[in-house]
Amino acid sequence: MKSSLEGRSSAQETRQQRRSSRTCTTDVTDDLAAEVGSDGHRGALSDGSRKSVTAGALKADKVMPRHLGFVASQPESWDVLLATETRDILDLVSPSATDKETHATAQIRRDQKKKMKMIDGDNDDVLNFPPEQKGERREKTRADEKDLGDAVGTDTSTTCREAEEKIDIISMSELVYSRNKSEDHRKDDMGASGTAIPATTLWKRFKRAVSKQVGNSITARMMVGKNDGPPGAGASDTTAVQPMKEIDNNVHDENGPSPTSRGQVDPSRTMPDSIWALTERVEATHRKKLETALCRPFVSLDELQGLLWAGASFEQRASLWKFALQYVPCKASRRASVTQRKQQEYCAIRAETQTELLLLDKALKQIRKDLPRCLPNLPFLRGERVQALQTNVLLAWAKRHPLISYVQGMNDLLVPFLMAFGAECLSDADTRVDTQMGAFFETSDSSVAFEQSLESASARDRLESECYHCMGSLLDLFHNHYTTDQEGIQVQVLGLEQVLQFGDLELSTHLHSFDDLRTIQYAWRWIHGLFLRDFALPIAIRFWDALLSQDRAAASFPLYLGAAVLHNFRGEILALSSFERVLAFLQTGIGHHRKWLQVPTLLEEVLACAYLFSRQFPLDLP
Amino acid sequence: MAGVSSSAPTPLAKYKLVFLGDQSVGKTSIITRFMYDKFDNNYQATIGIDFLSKTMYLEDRTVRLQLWDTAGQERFRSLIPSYIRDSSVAVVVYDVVNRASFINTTKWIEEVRNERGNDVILVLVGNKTDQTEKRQVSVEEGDAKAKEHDIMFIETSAKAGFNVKALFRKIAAALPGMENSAMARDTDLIDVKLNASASTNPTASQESSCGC
Repeated sequence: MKSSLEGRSSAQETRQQRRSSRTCTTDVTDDLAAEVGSDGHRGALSDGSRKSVTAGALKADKVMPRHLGFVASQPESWDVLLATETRDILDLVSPSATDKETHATAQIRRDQKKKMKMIDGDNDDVLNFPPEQKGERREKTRADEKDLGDAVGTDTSTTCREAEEKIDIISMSELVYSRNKSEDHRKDDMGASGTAIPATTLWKRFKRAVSKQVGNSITARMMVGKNDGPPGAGASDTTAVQPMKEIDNNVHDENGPSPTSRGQVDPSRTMPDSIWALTERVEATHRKKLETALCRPFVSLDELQGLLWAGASFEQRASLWKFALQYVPCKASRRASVTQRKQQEYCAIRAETQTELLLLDKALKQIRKDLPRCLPNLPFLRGERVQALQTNVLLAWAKRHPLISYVQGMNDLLVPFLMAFGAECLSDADTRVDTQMGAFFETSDSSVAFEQSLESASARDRLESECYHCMGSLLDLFHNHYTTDQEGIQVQVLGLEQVLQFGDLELSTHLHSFDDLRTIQYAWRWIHGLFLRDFALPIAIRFWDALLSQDRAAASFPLYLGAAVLHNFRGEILALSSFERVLAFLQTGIGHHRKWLQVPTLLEEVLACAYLFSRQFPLDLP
Repeated sequence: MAGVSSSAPTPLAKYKLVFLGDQSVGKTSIITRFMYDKFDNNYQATIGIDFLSKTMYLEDRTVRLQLWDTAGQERFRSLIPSYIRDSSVAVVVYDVVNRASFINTTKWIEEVRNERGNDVILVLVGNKTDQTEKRQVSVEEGDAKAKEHDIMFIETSAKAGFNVKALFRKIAAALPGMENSAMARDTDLIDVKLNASASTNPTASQESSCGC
């Protein structure tokens, strides 16, 4: 992982890397500029940022030991940090009255200022929050603040209330991301590292906005008394409350929205039966943005990754993943030739494996044992053609990586690719289904359709090549997870422990209070299978979206996701008092817990939290 | 007394059992048969370690068994020693229709002996006896190996539900303390030959129900 910083000197280096990797300037920077307003203002911002940058770096030293390459510099207390942060937002928010600023937005700014001042005098209260919560709040604030920016830029008559109500799940996470990206850019400009811009008040505003939108709903009730827990609640479009069902992958989502209603807020919508309905619901605007981004003659990876962070439908996900994993080049004119070359390359490897079957015998036997029992709730995986395809791909990979060969669990890793790229095939084969793709894959119809779509050899070759190269790129990120001692996983588990300790001390202490409990007993499996085994598939796939949108930080992202999951289930875990129950919960309960369904924003909360952890506690993985 | 967990908030005596053996010999199947009395032809391959626990009600006492189901593939071996170190019972499983898995049990037995010496209850289990026509390892061979290493031996079929309960009763009978385990082992070895059906075992009650 190159993105972590080892003090000032390597911070410089990292910045250079970042610069070179970002050839295209994104809209984010413009947003920032728009927000900041005039040049004079930029000065104010840079001052503020510098201050908080120092504070951010200080924070690291204050809280973290030097294990595992945690970043550290000069120590300073939380008080200073908070004071700096609150000043920052005042700098940012206060006198930036642009020509466009209306009465309404001025009002918002006054409100914010007032609240900021309240916080300033209220530091003790703030200090009681564990650091990651403050961080989380900070993120929310940024999103909220961005919302404010939107209100200024787009509709001058928008009132404060309306601005608040614009918040929804997808744009939330997207904003969190783009805000972070803009931070990157600013860091580049400022020549310093660390997080800026604070939060607390605006988080409260966000909560208020969400609970208002939800109206009578259960989520509003869930928010009450949430102050000591993770801020996980709120739905933008849940108005009716249904009795909860346990998440069951076998249950086909019948009440889920039809594709036509996707992205529109339907007041009569009820709580979905399956989590697919949550993860596959893509806002129309987001969809549109993705479409536009994907159509560019020179696709901006930066932009795509930003959008991927917020999720996608299966069809779009396929393209996004291919870009993110560098299967498809950014330049449109080169795409056909490059993919063709890659496909030929794959076919050559596959032909070689056929002549070396004796050498690969061990791997082949193992693959043949594992495929029939891989993720039993997905009928399409039982198809003959699909299994032959999986065998070919896994064997080809094993041939090219003789030291690793085939490791149990790799068959699971192939499944999300099969689903995403298969969804494309299904669309091509004109067997497009009415239901959402994810849920469709859990029906037996999918098996028939999938087998049909693989009828022609060219379709099979294409899908195999896509799966082979994309899985290969993914495994390259985690190459040391599958070597003899699997040290990569051990390091991640260790890192997860550390992150949790600094992110949520109470929970970490609780988990350590059980003599027999080891993080490795549950987290090892999460990381080995990249969450596919132990989490409901739609959740795992959304985790993958987030992971693949992470660029160079992707290699260490699983550990932050793990820590974020634990943190977001802290209430449930803290309530368990025996080793057996805790371990059973962490091994089998947590990934299929009904809270994922009950709290529609939970998934996004976890992702945002993971991102924050990765920012607050950067690790230098070997 | 190494097997008794001292940090118990409940008064139940707890014992840790670790299941070892090559891939797809039926470790998960045996455990699932014992836990839920169910069998499925296609259990997902175990990745890392699975944990399950169950209370066993014996005639004179009640014990809590904590079962650690390990992954069979060699790549996961680095994880396993720490579980062997923590366990008071090691169950080494092989597949009677797969001679290689039988040969590899020697490695497992030695590994357990290296970690725990004699301070452990070791059981050799030949699984999949329902596949009589494909059998590659005879009962006698299994028994001979067990005698050679001075450990318990039993043949089971998780699919048919044969001898699985008997296996756990044998283990439970040997549990009380290591001091009289040598005696228990001898009697158990004789038991195996007589004990063609799972229904007769004088040391344990018929019922074992789930306490979780």
